[in-house]
Amino acid sequence: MDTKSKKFRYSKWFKSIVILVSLFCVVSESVLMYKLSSSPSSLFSYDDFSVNSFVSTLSNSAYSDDPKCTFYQSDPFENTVSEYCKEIVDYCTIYKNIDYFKSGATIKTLMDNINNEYDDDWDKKSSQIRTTYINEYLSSFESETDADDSSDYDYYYEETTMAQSSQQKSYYDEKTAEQIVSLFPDDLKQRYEKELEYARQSIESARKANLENVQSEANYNFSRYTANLFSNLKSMTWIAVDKKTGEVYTNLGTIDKTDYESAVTGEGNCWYLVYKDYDSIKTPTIKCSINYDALRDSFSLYLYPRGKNSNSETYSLENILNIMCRNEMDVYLGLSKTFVSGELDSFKPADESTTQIQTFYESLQTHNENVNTAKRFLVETAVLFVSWIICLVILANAAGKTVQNEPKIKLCFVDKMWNDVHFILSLFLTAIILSSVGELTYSGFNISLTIGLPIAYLVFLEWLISVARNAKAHTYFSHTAINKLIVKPMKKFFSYVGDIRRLSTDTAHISKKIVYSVVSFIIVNAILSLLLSGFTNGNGVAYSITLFIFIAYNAFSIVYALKYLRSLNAIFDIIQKTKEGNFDIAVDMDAIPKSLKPLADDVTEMQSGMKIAIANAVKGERMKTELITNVSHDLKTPLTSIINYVDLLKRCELDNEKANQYLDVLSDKSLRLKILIDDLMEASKLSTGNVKLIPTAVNLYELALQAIGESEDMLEERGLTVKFAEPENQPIVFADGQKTWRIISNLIGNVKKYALENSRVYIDVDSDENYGIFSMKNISTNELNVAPETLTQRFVQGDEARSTEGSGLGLSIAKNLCELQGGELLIEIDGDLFKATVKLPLVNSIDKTAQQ
Amino acid sequence: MYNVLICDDDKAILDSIEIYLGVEGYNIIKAKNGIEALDAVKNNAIHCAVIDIMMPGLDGLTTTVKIRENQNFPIILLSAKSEDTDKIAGLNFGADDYVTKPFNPLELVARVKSQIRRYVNLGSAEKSDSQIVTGGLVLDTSSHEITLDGEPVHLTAREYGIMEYLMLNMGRVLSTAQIYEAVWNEPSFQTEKTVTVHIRRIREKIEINPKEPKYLKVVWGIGYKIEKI
Repeated sequence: MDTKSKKFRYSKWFKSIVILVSLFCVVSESVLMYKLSSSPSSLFSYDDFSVNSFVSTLSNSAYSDDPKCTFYQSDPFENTVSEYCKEIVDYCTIYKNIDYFKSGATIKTLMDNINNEYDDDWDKKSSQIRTTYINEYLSSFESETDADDSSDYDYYYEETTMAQSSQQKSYYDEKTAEQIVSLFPDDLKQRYEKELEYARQSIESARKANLENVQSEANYNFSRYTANLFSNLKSMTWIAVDKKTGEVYTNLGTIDKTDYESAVTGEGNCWYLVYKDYDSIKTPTIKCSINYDALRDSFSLYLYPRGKNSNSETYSLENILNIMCRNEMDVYLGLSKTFVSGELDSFKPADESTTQIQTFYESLQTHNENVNTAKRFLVETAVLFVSWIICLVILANAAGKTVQNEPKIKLCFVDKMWNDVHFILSLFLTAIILSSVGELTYSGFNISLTIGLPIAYLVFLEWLISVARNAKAHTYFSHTAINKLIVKPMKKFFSYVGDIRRLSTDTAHISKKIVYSVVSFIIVNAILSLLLSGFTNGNGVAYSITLFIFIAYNAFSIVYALKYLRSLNAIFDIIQKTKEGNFDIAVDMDAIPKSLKPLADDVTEMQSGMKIAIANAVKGERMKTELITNVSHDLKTPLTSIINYVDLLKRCELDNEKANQYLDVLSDKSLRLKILIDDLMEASKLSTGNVKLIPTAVNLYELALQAIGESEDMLEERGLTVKFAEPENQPIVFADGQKTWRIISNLIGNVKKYALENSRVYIDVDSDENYGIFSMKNISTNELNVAPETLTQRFVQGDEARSTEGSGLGLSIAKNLCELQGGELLIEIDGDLFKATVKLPLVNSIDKTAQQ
Repeated sequence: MYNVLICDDDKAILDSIEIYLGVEGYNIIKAKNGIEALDAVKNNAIHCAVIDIMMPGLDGLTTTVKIRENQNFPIILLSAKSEDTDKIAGLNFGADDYVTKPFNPLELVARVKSQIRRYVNLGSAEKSDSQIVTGGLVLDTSSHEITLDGEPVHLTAREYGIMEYLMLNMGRVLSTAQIYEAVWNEPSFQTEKTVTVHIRRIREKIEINPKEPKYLKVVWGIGYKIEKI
């Protein structure tokens, strides 16, 4: 990752923006939640936002006593649907048991029929319930048989005529009904026609009977109920499946397998399973399709229980239907795709009178709106949540990082707080803010959401980022109050205890003993004090004895401690003196307590050890010096003989010309050997630091003059001219004159050996702030293809074919001498120009540093 | 005929020195160590001794000390040690000169000659008021002559001027500028170089080994002085 992006990510304004975004997410989410929780619609209850399962749940709840379903009762759509389903099932139940209703059979017969029909799989419990219902019904029926309520007679009459007039209105339906009936299976058709005929006859006879039978109270109620029922059912398409028998009931004009299957399998949008468990009827037998209008007519004529009491009538019908197990059906509602796709606004019910379906669609519209809201809410919530998490990740990642000191984590001042304290504080603060602001609203302006929550959130965020910083710096657990105040002190304490327990060497025994003594002193004193306080009011003798022991013990302890301390002091004194270099003061063993003896022994051993070490060091130094001297002597003695005898041999005036030449070579080489040995000795002395310097104030100019005077002739032999100008001031350096001469004479020797013949040699004396400077420049005879630094190394010579003169140590010795005197030797090579510069500290600067 | 005692544990050196000094006409008495040397001193009248410092048994320094107990002849120490401290120690023990190995045989001969001449002439030469003396070096301010171990040294007028100025201020270190102004009698200005050249030439005339001067010493970076001996 490049620095630019890091710079961007770690910048303050970017972090601020991310914090603001996360704040926005949190607040928006809270506002959403708040809106939803305060809205009357129970959005959260919709399962999977599918109308299918939703309706299924509703229809269940409509007929079961499942307490969880009561929650949904408030939804208008649910109400409508459940009502509708109930009616469908009622209708189908009636239709299914139409024989019973037509026959006017007694409840007893019905019970028998049902029991016969469902004998196999009807569980005993439900059969018992049914029996109870029937018995209740029968008893109520019997008890109320005699009751005659004639006051409502006129009312009943009116209603019946009304029903008759509405029946007149729907005469045209009979044709349709007959068309439908024609689709019926033959036996059903016959039965229907028979029933229709019978119904007509009955109507006729009823008219004739002039209300005697027909206008009974029960008949009226029942017919009113069913009339209502049928008018409702007319406006919807539905399929009901008897789960026990697999019989299918529908108000579709025709029903084919596709309809049914699309309803059952839920393909397409228009079918909704209202009742559950359709798996059991994979292969249904389509029993019939019903023209309810036609049926209504016949039902209104024939289907009624034989009862008179109006209250018991309705009840009785409910009972009968219950007995007939209207629950045992799956109901599918057919909805127009228009409604499902949500284009409800464009829908205009064709028939204004069909209010039921209008209600249904309206409720569906509300439902769809709710579902959409819920979906939107879900999406919004998800988006906000995800972006919030992203913000947090970005913040946590950038926390504590800066471009400058990456990858180190920069902890800010808040992080000095212990982390657990920080956590509790943040938690506390958040709780206080949230609870104090609470549910405050001010004229529709929610304070808790707009002020309290953001502040609380910022407190939380601050804590979170601090955690991130600490975690990255690996200080989260170490930097806690628990760790600092409890864990660490405990560890320390145990390590101390462990240290004391581990003490086992002789010397360590002393500290062990001191610890034990102090502890036992405290314990004994505590016990004695306890005893004293115990005896205060009691035994005078015991008190005085204890007091005596107390005083005696303490006095003894103090005296012993003082004695111990004195001995310890004596040992420390001796250690101090040993440190200062006095090894001869021995520890007085007799005056020392036994427990301190190991320490005293150690001190004595240390003294003798140091004595030996110093003696060895002195001896080593002396041996080193002696070695150099001895080697020098052993080399020089034979060399003396060689030089002497070569000289003597020369004096012999040999006749042989060659022998004389050889002798010259010998003479040259032996003299060179002499120089070599001298230089070698000097160099080895310098490198071993075996040189004594006697620095004084030395005038560098004077020295230069002397040097020129000493060597001018020698240089002139080679045709070298010395150019030397008097400087403006004469630098006085603090150096050993003899050694400084050695430096300069070495440099001049170099010039003599390597300078181009008949050239000029420039010598300059100058000074800068701290150093006096002597420099020499000359043109080299040979090509200088050596680095300046290597020239000052030992045995390095400028020309590769090593010069016959010189030892190769001259510059090395000069450099060492310069450095020993606090100066330096600089060699510069520029082509054939060779420049050597000697820098030596000025007396003034030495004074200055000395003063400082 | 002067007797010269040579003492060295190295026979080759002993023999070579014998040859050199023998050529000069000295009677050579050889000793291989300090004890032999002391015996020789007891039995002979020695005029000069050349003693090596590092010897088995009795070393050169101790021998010198023992000889100095009752003898006054010049002693030249011979040593492989070239340190100044060694020289100073040797001279303090009573030696008169010091030669480091490996030495130039002719230089040794010259030193022996010089020492014997001084030893033999010592006391015989009369010292007048006009004479300034240090060791074997005598400057006569009246005759404007300088003699070394009794033999005249030939100096130019400038050289004599310098020597006189230095001898008059014997033991004092004088800078080139001082010397120039005193001798040339004019203020110095970039001319002191000539002083140093002159001094080197004087040294070549009065010193046996100009590189290790006995009388006219260079105090590096400060000036020159005549050593009071």
